[in-house]
Amino acid sequence: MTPQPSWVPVLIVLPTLVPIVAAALTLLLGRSPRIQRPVTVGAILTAFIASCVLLWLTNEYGTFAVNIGGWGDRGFPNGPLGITLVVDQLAALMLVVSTIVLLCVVVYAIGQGIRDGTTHQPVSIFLPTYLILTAGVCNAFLAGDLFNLFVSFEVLLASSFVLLTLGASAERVRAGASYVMVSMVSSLIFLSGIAFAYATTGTLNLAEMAARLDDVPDGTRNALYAVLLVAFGIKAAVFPLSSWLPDSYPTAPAPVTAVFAGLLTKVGVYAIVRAHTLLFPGGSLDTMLLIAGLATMLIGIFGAIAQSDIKRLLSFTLVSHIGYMVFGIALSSRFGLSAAIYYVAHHILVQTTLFLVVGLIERQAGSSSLRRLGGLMASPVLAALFLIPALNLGGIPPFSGFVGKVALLEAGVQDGSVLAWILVAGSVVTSLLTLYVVARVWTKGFWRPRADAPEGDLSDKAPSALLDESTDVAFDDRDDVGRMPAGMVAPTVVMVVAGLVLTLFAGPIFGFTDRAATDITDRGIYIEAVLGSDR
Amino acid sequence: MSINLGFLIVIGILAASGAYLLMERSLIRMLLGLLLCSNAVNLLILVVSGGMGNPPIMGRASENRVADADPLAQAMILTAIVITMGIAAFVLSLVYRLFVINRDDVDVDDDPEDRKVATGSLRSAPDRDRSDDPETLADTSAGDLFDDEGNPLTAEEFAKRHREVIETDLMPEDADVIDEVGPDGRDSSSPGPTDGGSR
Repeated sequence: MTPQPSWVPVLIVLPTLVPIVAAALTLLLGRSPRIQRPVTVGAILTAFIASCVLLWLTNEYGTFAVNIGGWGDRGFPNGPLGITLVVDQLAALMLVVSTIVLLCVVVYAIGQGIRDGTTHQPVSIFLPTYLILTAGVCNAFLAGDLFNLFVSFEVLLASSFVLLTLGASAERVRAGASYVMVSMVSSLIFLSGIAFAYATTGTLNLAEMAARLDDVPDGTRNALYAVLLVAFGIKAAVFPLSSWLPDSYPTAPAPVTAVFAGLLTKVGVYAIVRAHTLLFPGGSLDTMLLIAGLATMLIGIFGAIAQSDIKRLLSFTLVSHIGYMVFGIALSSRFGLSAAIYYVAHHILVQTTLFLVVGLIERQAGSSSLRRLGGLMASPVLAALFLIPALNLGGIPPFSGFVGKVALLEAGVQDGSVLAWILVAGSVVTSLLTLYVVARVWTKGFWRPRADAPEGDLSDKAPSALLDESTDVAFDDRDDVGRMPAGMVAPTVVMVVAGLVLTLFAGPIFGFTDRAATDITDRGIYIEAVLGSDR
Repeated sequence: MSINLGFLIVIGILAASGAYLLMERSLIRMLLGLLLCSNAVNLLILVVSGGMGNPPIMGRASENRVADADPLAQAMILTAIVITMGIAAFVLSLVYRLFVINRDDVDVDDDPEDRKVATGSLRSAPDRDRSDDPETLADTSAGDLFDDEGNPLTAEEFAKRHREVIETDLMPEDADVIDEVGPDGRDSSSPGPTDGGSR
């Protein structure tokens, strides 16, 4: 490792530290939303800039690690004692994509609150909680320590509980209750996994643990991996553990659903990637993961076909496309991992964009149900904003969804086993069905006249911002909502453009994910960055 | 390292009762189950961290004890306890809120949308149009017919309109229909009597 400049450790903690400090500040400023807003945006912007610099640094110089408080820099028998934060190319890429999403969504939420909310919108608790969520997500990507990863999961979960039940209407409390319970069960499984890992290796530091797990008998290793996989699988919504997601996400406010859909499941996927490459290389559970990936893809998309609410439909496609990432990971090859990393970045952007667009649809047309929607073509901007990410999700060339899927298919074909071929076929079917699902939203929601929708004469009374307080009225009696507010359209446009950038620069980005995949498959780089070269 | 079997049995009982309670519908019972499970896991961490009775302070040897107590396990348990406590407080507030809304029961309900999908018929299928045949879901001949305001036409109305159109020889070509799509706002996607692309 090249000698690290003294400012790098400061930079690594910024994406976590700045949002947490800003959260405290915005909580104090709860009575003055005018100051809350710039503080929030500034904090996330700082995290974004820091992440970009980290991306450049890791690309140029490789992996960096920092031991908070300087504990355990040298030779403790059980690895560093303090909290270790590690940033490699994978973590840096995740950080950059996540902070873009977090930034756009918070601007969208603020825009929506100013336009549609009361004077104190977004409600005073929203921005502090959102910042805590930001800190949790960033910390999860940086954690170099299993328990620290657990704590960041808890931080982001606890804040997601608050965001999901914002306003505590009956519907949201119902969804929140099951979400809280499922999440907590997964956390407890994770915690017992930590206990087992600690009993086996005597350390929690990922690098040290990786080195020690090599001497552990296969049976114990696989059991450990299985426990952790169940915990991460619930967070990532991999098939047998995915049914909580479409139940809980759609009831939340549009920006909240957007950021959950984009990021929370991907944190779980990221944890699976880390465990798979660093702690348990060798792919002992690959067959199981491949089957789970196939089931996730197919069952997710079949669920989407049956839905008439766009938010729920998109939640099911979210579950379905997690299967692609699991597929890439379970191939355990450099190409598979590289494709999976690209796909994660693509999917974070496209899924968030779609949920933001649904927020706009809901605002303009008073519903997100295909039974009520129609005639949305009247607004060409809205149509374009939906169509581009929708085609992207369905994997139409030349968008990034197509590039990512082709890369995954190539990796699958290269693997060549029967199961890999079945998954290749399954991916193609899923891709087609995704296209069918979004095309149906298009034909029903945009092309069909509203009068021909079965419940087209009903609508929400007024656009609601973060609180769920709307009642049904006849469509004609609806309050005039005016044009789409620029504060909501602009971040959506930025997200669409970010998705297109991923398409335009697919070549360089694939070069980058290839290097990231090479680095995470060669565990020595990570271990050396954390523990030093003498071990 | 020797493991105390008694502890393991206690952990097993706690986890099993906790898991049982988590399957319940009542939010209070689920919370109790969660607490039992988390205690089981905390105890597990304590057990795996090594034997009991070791001195907690570094460098202060006890009789017959060579090792210090493991501070890491205790730090983890403390963190886990705090997290569980916070979540328990949050769940209790959810319970109270549910009680305020429902007054009589604090059970977690089914997802209403889930129910709709489960009991759904062709009539409630997501791709149904008002003008579709209710039985077969097929597009009916009346299906694509809308007047200039975008309201669906009945068969008689259509027949009348159709006659008018034919009699006056104004049957529009598809290209004309597209030209007609115009300045009148959201109904512009519903062209006249022919199926000019409304689906």
